[in-house]
Amino acid sequence: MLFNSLEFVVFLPLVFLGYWFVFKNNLKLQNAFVVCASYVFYGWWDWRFLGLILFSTLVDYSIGLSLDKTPEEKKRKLLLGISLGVNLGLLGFFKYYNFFLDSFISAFTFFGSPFKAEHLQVVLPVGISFYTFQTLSYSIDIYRKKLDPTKDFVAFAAFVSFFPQLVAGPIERASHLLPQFYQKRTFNYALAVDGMRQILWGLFKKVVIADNCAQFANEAFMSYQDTSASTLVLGGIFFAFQIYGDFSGYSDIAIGTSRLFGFDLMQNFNFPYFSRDMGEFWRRWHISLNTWFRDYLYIPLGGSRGSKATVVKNTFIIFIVSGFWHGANWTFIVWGLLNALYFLPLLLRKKNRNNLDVVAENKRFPSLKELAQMLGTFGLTVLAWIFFRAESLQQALIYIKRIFSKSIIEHIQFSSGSRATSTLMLIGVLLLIEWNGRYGKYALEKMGLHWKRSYRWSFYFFIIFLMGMFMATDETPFIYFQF
Amino acid sequence: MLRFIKNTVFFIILCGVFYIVALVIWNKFMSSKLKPNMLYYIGAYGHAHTRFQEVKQTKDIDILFIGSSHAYRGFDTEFFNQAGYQSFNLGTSSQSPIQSEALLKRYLDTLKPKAVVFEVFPEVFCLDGIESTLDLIANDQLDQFTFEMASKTWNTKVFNTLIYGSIAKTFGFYSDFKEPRVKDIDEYVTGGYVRKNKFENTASPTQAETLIAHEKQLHAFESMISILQSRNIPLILVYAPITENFYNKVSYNLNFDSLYKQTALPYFNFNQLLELVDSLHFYDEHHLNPNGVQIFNNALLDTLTQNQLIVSHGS
Repeated sequence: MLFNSLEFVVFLPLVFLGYWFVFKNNLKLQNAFVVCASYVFYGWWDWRFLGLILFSTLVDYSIGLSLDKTPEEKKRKLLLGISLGVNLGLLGFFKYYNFFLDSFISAFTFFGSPFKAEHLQVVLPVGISFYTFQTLSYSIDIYRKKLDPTKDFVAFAAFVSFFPQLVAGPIERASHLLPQFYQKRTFNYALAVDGMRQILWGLFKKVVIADNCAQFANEAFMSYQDTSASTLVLGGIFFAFQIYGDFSGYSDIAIGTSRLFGFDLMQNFNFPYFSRDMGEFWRRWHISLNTWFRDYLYIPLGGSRGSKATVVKNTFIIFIVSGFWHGANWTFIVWGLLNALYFLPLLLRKKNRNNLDVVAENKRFPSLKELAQMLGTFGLTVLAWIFFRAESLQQALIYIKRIFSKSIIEHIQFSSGSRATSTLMLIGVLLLIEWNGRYGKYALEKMGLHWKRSYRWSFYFFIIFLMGMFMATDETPFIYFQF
Repeated sequence: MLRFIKNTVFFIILCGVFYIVALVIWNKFMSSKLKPNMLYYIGAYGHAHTRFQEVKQTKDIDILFIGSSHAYRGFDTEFFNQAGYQSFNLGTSSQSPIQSEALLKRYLDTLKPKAVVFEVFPEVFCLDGIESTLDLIANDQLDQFTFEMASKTWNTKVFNTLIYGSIAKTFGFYSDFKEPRVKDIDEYVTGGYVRKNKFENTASPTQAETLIAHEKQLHAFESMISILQSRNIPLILVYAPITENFYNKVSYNLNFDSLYKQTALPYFNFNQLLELVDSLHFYDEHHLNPNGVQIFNNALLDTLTQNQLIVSHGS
């Protein structure tokens, strides 16, 4: 079920009413209701994969309990290995089987021993990368004795399948989300209203920004061999805003929806396009995944401790794995590699934590230096996004090569110039609102709270009107569903 | 909790009011570039406004023609009237089965046709139906069938236009609008036919696309058949001539021929029954010029009478 679908418009109020009115006084039943609702939400896409979630839930629940009962380190390691093997095995099978097969075939062919092998027609279960990482964090934290295993299977099943964040995050840590299922939730008016605001902003980013940008990004990437360089540059920028609007929009809707049910999810985006360097960008983009990799991969590898060679190696590993997590394609790996190259100079000069404050704090506008830094960082991310969006490395390289051609001074060639112009104007509206709201966890969090209600509501009405007037007219799935 | 629900409901109601007012103001002051999800255009294409004004004065006909621009530019009602068959042409631009179904439901009771001729250019089955829905919202009356049609096309542009149309019609924003019978080289002929006074075919060939019929259009087509069957009104399917060049390059003809034949309704593909010349009888790739219309209509009349598919009200 998509957040931007009619089904969800019906589903959400029904679940809300059931949750707060029917099962309010029984925590166990309320959690069971969350599990049922989450399974309906997921099963709406394809009920056959519900078995996979249930299997993953059972495995990690059992391993969690066993880890607690097992003092011997060897056995504990074996149990953790089983959890890693099962979860990553399923992920590997569904997501990477054909990729590895293709890579082996290419490698063997390259070395003069061609062989044939059957590809599998595997459907990638939506959100598998997200819930796999979420359940893994549970087993690893118990293994590290940072978390006590739960004996409440229903609460654990609700934690794994919690519908707002099941298919595209934020990837929650068990230590943060699971305890919330143990506590009785009471309805909090301010939290729910805040949730509604965040849902509104998330929807705006998805249906107005992302879906409109998608049209032109797709056009640029489809006609990359014939169109002008100026169109390709703009196509890259449109994709940058498409992926931001799409994914941060999803996160906002997920976090906002959770608040309606009294849950607090972690912030996943923090105005990444206002970053002044790549270090800051990676602290602000897909925070839940990046901190996951930091805690469960980078630090265990040694992190920034040790020799420069170790730091370089660890940085490359984390970025390449992050790229590979996004998809089984060399384009994602090169995207990760490129970001590692952006990030390393900062890390080696210990300048990766230079910009920890809010940009242009207490000022209306950024200084020229800050503006140049933000534009420079944005330019680097756009360049990397070209690899992320391209279907092959060859396409990405040709796309970039063609950007640096004489046609940069030629006209922009989109099929609907007026729609492209209005989309750029909408991006301007997005940036304006996000700039004003950059002190909050999302743009509307603090914006207008001190206004009279009539003004504040009129502002929200206007955002809704803009959605109605400018939303792309097809119901488009979220990009991160495929990861 | 109750405060939250109460405020949410209040917010939704106020938002609805704001939305409607903003829609009216936005439409009035903004250029079309800034209203991509709204298109309220009276008298825009193919004299739809005049046709719907006239149909409200029309009753008890022999033949009702229905379909896309191939219908209103291909079936000359004046010719059929002169031949003794009272006819009306309810064709509109890009009309797909969803709109044809709504128009049948709306006008069958007053027109009481003895036969309905449905022009079945295959591409209309592959349309989303949005363009034609907008055309009908702006140029025809709004009723339950409009809402049915809007719900079948399910598109923000349609809903915005419908909201605006309801306000515009309620407050008579365009009540003094008069559409000229002659617009450029298009001449409206009583009965709904539009004669394009252009004889040479200057259109450059287009690329053929691979098209797939929409399920919702096929359902609407089935619904049309059952509506007419329940009233014992014969439905005749006609594939009007398109240029030979265009007909031969598209890949869907066999599939659609077979679809039409499966209905067991009388079906005539005039691309196979009639020999026309692309440069002499068309003004673009798939619309007949007045000479082509004359030949086509003569052949159609012969076919319908020989097969005893039409009778006049007088008989």
